[in-house]
Amino acid sequence: MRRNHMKVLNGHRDKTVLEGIRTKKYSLKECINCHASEKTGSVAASKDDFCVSCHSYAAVKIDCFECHSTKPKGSMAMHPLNAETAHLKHALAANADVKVSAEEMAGVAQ
Amino acid sequence: MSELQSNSDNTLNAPDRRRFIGAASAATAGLVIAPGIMLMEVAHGRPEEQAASSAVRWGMLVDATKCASGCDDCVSACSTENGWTPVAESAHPKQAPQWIRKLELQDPLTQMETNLPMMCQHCADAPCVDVCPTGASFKRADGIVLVNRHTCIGCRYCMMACPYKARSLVHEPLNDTQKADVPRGMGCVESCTLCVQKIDRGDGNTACAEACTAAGHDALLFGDMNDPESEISKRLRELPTKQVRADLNLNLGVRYHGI
Repeated sequence: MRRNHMKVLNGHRDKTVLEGIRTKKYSLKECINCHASEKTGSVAASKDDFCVSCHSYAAVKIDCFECHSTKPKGSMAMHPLNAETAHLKHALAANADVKVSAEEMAGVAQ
Repeated sequence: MSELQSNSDNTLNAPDRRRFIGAASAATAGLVIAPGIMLMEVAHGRPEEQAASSAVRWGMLVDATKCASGCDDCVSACSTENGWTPVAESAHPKQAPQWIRKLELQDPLTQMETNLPMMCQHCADAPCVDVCPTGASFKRADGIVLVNRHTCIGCRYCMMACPYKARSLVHEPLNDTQKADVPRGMGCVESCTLCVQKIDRGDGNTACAEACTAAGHDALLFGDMNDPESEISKRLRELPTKQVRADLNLNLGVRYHGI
């Protein structure tokens, strides 16, 4: 997913825009609903947010949010791979010497 | 179905085939038992995972005789639903995006006043689609003319080609103020989408028509022009309607009565 998510998103984009299929599988909105950060309520507002955290590291500009909203509509459903719980948690744990519990690791691995 | 039956004669002994035919005829019976329900499903929203189909042509009937002077509920409903800033509130009103606008016309000879909303007419043969150099301006299978912002380069040819001045360019960054359902951004052309996000959700109505009904005017009627049983088709059969600039032969999705 990290390597090829742009290809997946492009396919889904065409399904949605050209054919009008907006189910969860084809919806960027649903990606954002789950991946938005608890703190900022967004996937791209601060540098710890889900999309930006990788993109700033890889120095790749994201164009999606020139047009798409970075904020979920309605209530948020937190995905285990949220910025606060995923790779950043590993980094923080390594730096701050905080133990990551087995349950949390199981959540990340999902 | 008849083809299926004739095939089945040869293979009646095959249990798989027999089971399939049983299931198929049961599904057909469902159609016969509840024709009304099936019709509603066709008219008010296909299954969400199914692509838009050309069996449907979405359109709108504007009854200008019912459109009230001084009322712009359709315009504000559109702006709220789709997240564009109302022109009056814009810092640059002359270049502010406008998906639908209210026109108040007066005949110079008789002083007769006509009120009507003007927006993208969703032409079957749309000039904006013809002139688009990148293919961003396109007509969806169900007759809705849209802009694919992923390929739009903001050249504005379509704005020049449109006889209805229905399109606008977004000149300024929107700074994440877009609605989650309606992505829009600087440098792209946009216009009325017939609330495509609502149609795909299965609402079967647009924000402007809902607002007009809520205001008690009932001047806007949205529906499937391909379905002879839909409310809009019935009204189109009864009422004398006009297409704006009918001389251009564009076969419009928006028809006007009383102009």
